[in-house]
Amino acid sequence: MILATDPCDANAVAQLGDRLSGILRNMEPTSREAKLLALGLSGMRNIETLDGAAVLNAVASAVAVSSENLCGPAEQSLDSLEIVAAAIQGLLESEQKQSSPTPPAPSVTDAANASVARGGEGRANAGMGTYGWERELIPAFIVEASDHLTAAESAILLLEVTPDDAESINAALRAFHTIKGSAGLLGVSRIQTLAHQAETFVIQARDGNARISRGGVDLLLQSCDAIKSMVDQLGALPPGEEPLPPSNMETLLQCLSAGMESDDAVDDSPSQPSTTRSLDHADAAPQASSGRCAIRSEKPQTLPVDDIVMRGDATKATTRATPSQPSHASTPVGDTTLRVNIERLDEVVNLVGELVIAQSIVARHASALADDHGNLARSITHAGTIVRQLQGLAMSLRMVPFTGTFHKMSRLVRDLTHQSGKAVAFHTSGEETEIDRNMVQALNDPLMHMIRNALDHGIEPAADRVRCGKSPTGSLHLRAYHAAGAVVVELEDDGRGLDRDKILGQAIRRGLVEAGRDLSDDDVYSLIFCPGLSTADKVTAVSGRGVGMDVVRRNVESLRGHIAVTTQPGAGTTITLRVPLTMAILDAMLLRVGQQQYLLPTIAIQRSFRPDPDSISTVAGRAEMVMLQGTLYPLVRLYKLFDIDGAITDPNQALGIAIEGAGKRCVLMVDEILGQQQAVIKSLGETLADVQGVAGGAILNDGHVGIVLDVVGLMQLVHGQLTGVTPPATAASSSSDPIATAVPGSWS
Amino acid sequence: MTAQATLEPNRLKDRAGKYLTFVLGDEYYGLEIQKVREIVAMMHITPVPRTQPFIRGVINLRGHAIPVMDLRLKLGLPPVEPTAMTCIVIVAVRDDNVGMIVDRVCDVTDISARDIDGVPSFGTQVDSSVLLGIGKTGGRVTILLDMGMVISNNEIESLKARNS
Repeated sequence: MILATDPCDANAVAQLGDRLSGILRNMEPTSREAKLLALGLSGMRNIETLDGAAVLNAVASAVAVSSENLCGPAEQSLDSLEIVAAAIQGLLESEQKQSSPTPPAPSVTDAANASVARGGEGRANAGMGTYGWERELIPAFIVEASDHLTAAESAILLLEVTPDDAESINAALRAFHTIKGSAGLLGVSRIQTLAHQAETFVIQARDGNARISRGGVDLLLQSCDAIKSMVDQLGALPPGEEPLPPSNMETLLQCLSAGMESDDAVDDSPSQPSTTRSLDHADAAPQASSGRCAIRSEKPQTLPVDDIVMRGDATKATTRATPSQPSHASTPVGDTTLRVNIERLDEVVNLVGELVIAQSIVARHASALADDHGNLARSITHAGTIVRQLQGLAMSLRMVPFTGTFHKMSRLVRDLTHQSGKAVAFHTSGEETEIDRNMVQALNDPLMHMIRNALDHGIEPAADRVRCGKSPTGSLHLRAYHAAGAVVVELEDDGRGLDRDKILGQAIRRGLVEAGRDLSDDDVYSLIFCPGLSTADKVTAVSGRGVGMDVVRRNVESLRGHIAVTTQPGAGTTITLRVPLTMAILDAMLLRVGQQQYLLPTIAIQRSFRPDPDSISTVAGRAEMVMLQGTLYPLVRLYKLFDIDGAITDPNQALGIAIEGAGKRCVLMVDEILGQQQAVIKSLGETLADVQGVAGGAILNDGHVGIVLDVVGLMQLVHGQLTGVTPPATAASSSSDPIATAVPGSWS
Repeated sequence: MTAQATLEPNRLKDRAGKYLTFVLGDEYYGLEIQKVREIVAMMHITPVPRTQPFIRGVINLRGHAIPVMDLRLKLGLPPVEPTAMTCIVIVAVRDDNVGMIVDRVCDVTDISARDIDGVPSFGTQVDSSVLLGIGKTGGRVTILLDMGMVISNNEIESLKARNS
């Protein structure tokens, strides 16, 4: 919760309270004045729960009476009472100037509920938008409203699957009700009205023992979108000004109030002419006044039976949320959570990262003394345990489950399937998998593109599916899980799979690979991530421009992640993203080349091996290749690339590390791997910001700065060098050479 | 001094103030004290691959990675082995800290406007863009450096031909 109390006011009240209780101690406890004062005081202490103005009034009158009647024991008390009375009077006047009966409240929600409770419901608080405190409440309102909208949306999506679920209905109700109250308090009557109508709509479903049909779900989801669009405008608006209503606002309001009878207006809404026209609606195209019920009574005589059966099937097939979703999504943010500025959290995580490294440096120095000081070694081990626990805790602070992302994707699948008319069952698993908050946001875009692609190109229209002997309903699985210290997100469809020849043909046409090259399947499939390459026959609103998968790879790689495609023609495609748990701490291998040490991100490493003399061959006498399990990798001697003296120059004495990045591969030749290390990446400053192949620095266990290698930059460097050594003309002329022809097209 | 003043007098006046003076070889240099963050003893420097030779690498300054330049190499002077007097002067240039290796730090000198000469023309021998002016105090010549230019200008010609 963001505390919305004005700290000055709260402090002033608290100070007054302290002074009053001091005075009270000097008074005759049985006197009328003392009782009054004590009453007022306790009221003031509970100012958050009571009407502030009334309490202040009571206290002020108590004080006034006291100071008149008080005599004898404490002349000083009299003086201070007068001061206090004046102070309270001042406070009261300033309260009255604001003409607001609302005391400083702990949150917008509470204040809003209070205002609603006082009969503010449905009232257009037109004149209220001019006070400063509202302006301060608006950012909190935007945050809270967004949370509640998310909760409402997931509850509504759940209602589509299980229309009688009381918990979902209540969750949606709570969300709309709270938004309505808060909006009312802030005087944003448009949001208030819409939320009110949506709430009424849901209440009627609950009380009328009716079900919310698919049309009703559409209507509610659109209302959420409309509220969201207005909430988003609030931040930039001057106080008191109403946000612009979305173009379908009027229609929505009409439908919501008339929703119990008919939902046809939803589909006719001018701003969304076709998005809600779904598969089972398509045959009933001229439905302008067909009287389709948004909320259906269960009574059989009022319903067309076929219709509802069909509806039920379609809804089940379209979006299936997992059982764990409601508990996450519908639980309102309770008192057990605290909103913290993300920058502070980042700072904590970074500092703890430093602490871990500092601790290991201390441990290293201490190990030299440990023989003589047994206690020292023990204490340092103990401190180390605590520091590691602290690190685990600090990391977990920023971890969030995938729930929100998966929820967004369910909504996307729902909308896209409605648009395309394909029936797709969307299954999710592992939404409780936790990942760094920053990573989740960066994964949203890639996942969106992947889902668009899967729905547009992957899953075939129902007729085609039946022809292939598949179920007419396609299935799309989105999974998240932890594996080997990384997070894996998988999207699997049971569509037509990738068309090898089509991709290759496109790539050749676009000059991405040369014709006649013999490429491995993996190399061909990785071509789908090239910008501009699309196998779609026509560009649709959903996909086909060849941009999406390029975005996927870019984003995943900027997260130091890794992407893999497996596909089976006719049976489907699986795209697997592997990303580290967090960007704050890098899992790396410490390498040695000569006297220099480098950190290489572990996620980029495929394997390490000692090169066999027979596996190394050269191209044009210079560019070296290593054959590794049937694939040729360019061999990069790191000592040559980085100009390091004293390194091992004989590949058979050195160590080869196969790495992958930016869709390219190579083998780095280093002296040895010193071990694994967790590192906090630091910028090397503006002066060294653009050094190719260097991602930054990190403090090593010995207290020195270690250079963190940038795999993508390294690949560009290697790529550049290779083309420098073997220009394209040479490569083309030597295409009869088995080595050159087998070179993956992506890096030559 | 066959100095030909190329700066207007009031610009020279702006340059009056406190300077940290240090030695490279047998020449005295000065840099504006408000740009100096701190002075640290020579320490382990991690080389950064694929950078210009005058970039010696990065140091760990209380958990921050700070790039370090060898001012001798940057100004075209011959390199020397570090001694006990060798220091790294941490300079703040536009929000960024950069270390400068110098042979020896001398003192902080107040140089008044009338003691600062404009930058003489050295022809092609010396890139004068990195110079603020020439200070004359206490019977010696102090070359006042413009640290912003020293760091951003990567094409400095040799300064070594000049003798004080």
